[in-house]
Amino acid sequence: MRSEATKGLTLSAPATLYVGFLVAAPLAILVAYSLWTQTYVSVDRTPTLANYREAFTDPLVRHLMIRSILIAATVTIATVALAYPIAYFIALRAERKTLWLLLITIPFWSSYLLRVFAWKLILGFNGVMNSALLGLGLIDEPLTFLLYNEFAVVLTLAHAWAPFAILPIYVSIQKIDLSLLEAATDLGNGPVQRFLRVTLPLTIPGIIAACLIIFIPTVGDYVTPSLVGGSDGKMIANLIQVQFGAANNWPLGATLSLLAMMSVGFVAILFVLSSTSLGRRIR
Amino acid sequence: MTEKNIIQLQGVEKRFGNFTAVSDLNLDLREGEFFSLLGPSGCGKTTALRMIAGFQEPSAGKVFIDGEDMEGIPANSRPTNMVFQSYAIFPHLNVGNNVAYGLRNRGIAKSEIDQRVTEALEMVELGGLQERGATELSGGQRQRVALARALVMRPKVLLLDEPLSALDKKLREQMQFEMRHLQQELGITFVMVTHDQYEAMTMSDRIGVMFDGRLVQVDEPPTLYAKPCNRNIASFIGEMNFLPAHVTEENGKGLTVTTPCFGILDIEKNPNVAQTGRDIEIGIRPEQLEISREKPEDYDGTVQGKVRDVAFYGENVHYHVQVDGVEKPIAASVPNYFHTVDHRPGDPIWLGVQSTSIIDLGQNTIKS
Amino acid sequence: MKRPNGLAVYAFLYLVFLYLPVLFLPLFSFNDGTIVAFPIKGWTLEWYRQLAGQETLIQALMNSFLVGFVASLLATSMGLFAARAYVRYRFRGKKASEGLVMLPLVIPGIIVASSMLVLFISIGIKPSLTAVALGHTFLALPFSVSIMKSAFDDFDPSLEEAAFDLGSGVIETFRRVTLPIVAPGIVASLLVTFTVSFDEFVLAFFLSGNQPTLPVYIWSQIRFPAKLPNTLALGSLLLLASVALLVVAEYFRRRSTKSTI
Repeated sequence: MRSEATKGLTLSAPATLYVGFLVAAPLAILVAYSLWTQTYVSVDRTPTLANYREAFTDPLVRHLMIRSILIAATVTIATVALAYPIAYFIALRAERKTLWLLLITIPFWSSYLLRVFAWKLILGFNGVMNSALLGLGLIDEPLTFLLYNEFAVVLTLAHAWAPFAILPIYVSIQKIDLSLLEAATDLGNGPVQRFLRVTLPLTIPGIIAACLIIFIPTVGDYVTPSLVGGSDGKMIANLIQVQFGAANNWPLGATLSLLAMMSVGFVAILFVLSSTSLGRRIR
Repeated sequence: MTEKNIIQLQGVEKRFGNFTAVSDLNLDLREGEFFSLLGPSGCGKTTALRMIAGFQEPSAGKVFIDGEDMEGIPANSRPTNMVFQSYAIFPHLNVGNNVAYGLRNRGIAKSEIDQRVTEALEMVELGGLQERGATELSGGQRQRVALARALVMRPKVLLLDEPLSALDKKLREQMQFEMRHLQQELGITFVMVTHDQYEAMTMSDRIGVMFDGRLVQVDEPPTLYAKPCNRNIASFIGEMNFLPAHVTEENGKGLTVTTPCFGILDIEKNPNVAQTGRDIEIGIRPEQLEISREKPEDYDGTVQGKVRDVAFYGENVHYHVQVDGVEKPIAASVPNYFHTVDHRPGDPIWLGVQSTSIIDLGQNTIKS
Repeated sequence: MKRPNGLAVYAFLYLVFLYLPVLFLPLFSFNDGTIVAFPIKGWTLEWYRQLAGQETLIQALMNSFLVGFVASLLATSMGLFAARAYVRYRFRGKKASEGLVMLPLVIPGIIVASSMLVLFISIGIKPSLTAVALGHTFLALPFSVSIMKSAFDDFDPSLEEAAFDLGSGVIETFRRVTLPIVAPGIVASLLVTFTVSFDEFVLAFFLSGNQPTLPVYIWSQIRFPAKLPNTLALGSLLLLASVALLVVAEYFRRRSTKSTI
């Protein structure tokens, strides 16, 4: 009989190698491309930092990058803040937990593209929301701030990521031994203090997981800014797509992809470090 | 121990839907005593404890602590603290912060908190472990931290919910004595819930036994063992042989009974028994029976039988003896003085009993 | 909870927020008018009827089925083996491997899409359904691994040992004991990974070349206001299909684990 380690390695190898290859190889090629330059139809393979220079000096790139991170951060905070009470409710108060979890996850299984599309229809100038409000006599003329701006992007993304925030937080609340909450009460805490001193610190891992799961993909979201962002709501992914599509400048696109990845990683690490150290200070 | 009642439960009842967890519980606990609520799981003892702590409101009746009616007073404002069955050590805090947790709610100066935490940890023999993480503690250490965290609050009553059930046997026995000593030194009233009769008997001043939501008997451990008030308690605490008996004469403190195998005996009436009649049940502890090859002299009742099973326990040996006229074999236990097992299955054997060691258990509830 | 409490009310409102947009698509797909706004002009099935005749749509649907089928099979078989390794064996690099396999969940879609495009071009795979299927396998793998992990979690290893003890060989044990027990998990994984692939847009947008999948087709239609009612009808059907698949998958997943969640 082969050893346990050999069996484990053999069985997990296809998945590990597949993912590993599809993460590492494109990354290596992206790095290579980012050092090349586009000259009309062909790619000049002389290594140069020209793309990085361009990316750093171009105000549009900087602007879109910062906006992407800010929008993603807003979406993350809004989604997690809105989701926490739901997760708390399902874990500690609801009687039919499974049903609630199912209800929360069902909309997520519909196509992301279609959900964003639905928001576009709802928020539009002649859309569902405006026609409903007009019909009810609540407004006299259509609201224009609903669509094609950052607000629409944040709203749509917060909706799209809801279950991703609820589930990890739910799991972390669910894991709390209820006698810990009773112990806090027994030692003199009211509900608010007890939440701040026990529940919240114990759910920090869930909150961090939720934040990362939302923040990282959101920075690079393409569909939402394209459909509901208008010109004010465009994000870095739109620019990257243009480089691989219409502009046909793959080296610059590769550079932007890498820079986006690095900024996301940097912000994420900063966030994890600061929130864990904050959690440790609660006594 | 003083004569003052620190806790009074008056007609306390707890219903969950159609299920009555605790019914008509009346109990006075004296200041400074170590009291145990003993009973099988599901008997309502934990619910009773949680009503004292304030985690559950009684459906009826009143709870007084130190003379004060606790109705409407939430758990966080009661002068009680609890040691939880799981210990409920906060995993995100170190030992020092766990123990200081409750003190920080009271706006006490930092220097005093530090001092009291140090004292409390020394008291439970964990001195100097303030910085140790909660997840790095052994089972015994967790139990000590839980004790220190509750005692540092200087509660009027310390409530303990199965505090030793998570520990292994050796540690459990050691902690029994330590907790007893701690309680006597501090003079704080301890109320412990346990399903372990030995734990209750070794530690407590008094024991209350609960069955099916009812408090059946409250007594000191020796009385509880010698004069259980019914068959349930008799079989729950220690081992007991049960025999039917017919009362032929009743006079003051005594009864004359006819037994199926030990003949006619004059036994003491059990004052704790609630229901009695002509057909009663009697109990004999296995260690009270004499067992020998020849008919034993000077015993009030004797009977001959045959050894069916022998169980060797180390400190003593149990013989199950089949006797004519009695359905179940009678258990007799003999201290293992000489490291020998004197009788084998199949051996003919005599049993002897003194009438003073026979326990009147009142009306026979099994069958006529 | 008998007394009405704030949290429950909030939870209910949150559900409304979650479902509102999803329910508007089907609602307006029956609207007898081309503008998506209140009031609804009348009810019609016309938009659904028109779908049947659209060649490119049918072709896109077929493409999606094909890609979903291949991707779910690949992801589930790799996930099955990997999950078994994670649950049953201890080996060096297990944690790292488990983490790596979950990575596709958190990489921004645009980066996966652009980097895969660059990679596939470099190794000679033209944008095509093959490329999309390989990419979707990558994206679906984390789902398959976690579903299969929970299926193996509740699977008592002594059952296999008992089968060995009773004289079964390795393959026979797998066929007669392991497979029947984790089969519901496999079905759940197939359905979920299929749905992931079926609904995925960005990667398919980059990699599908001139063979659009259904979401890529929808994307091309969204820009034409005249096609809006048809797109709504198509979207509604897609929603229905996804939810139906999920419900079936959930049924099998529950059967594969004892846990209630």
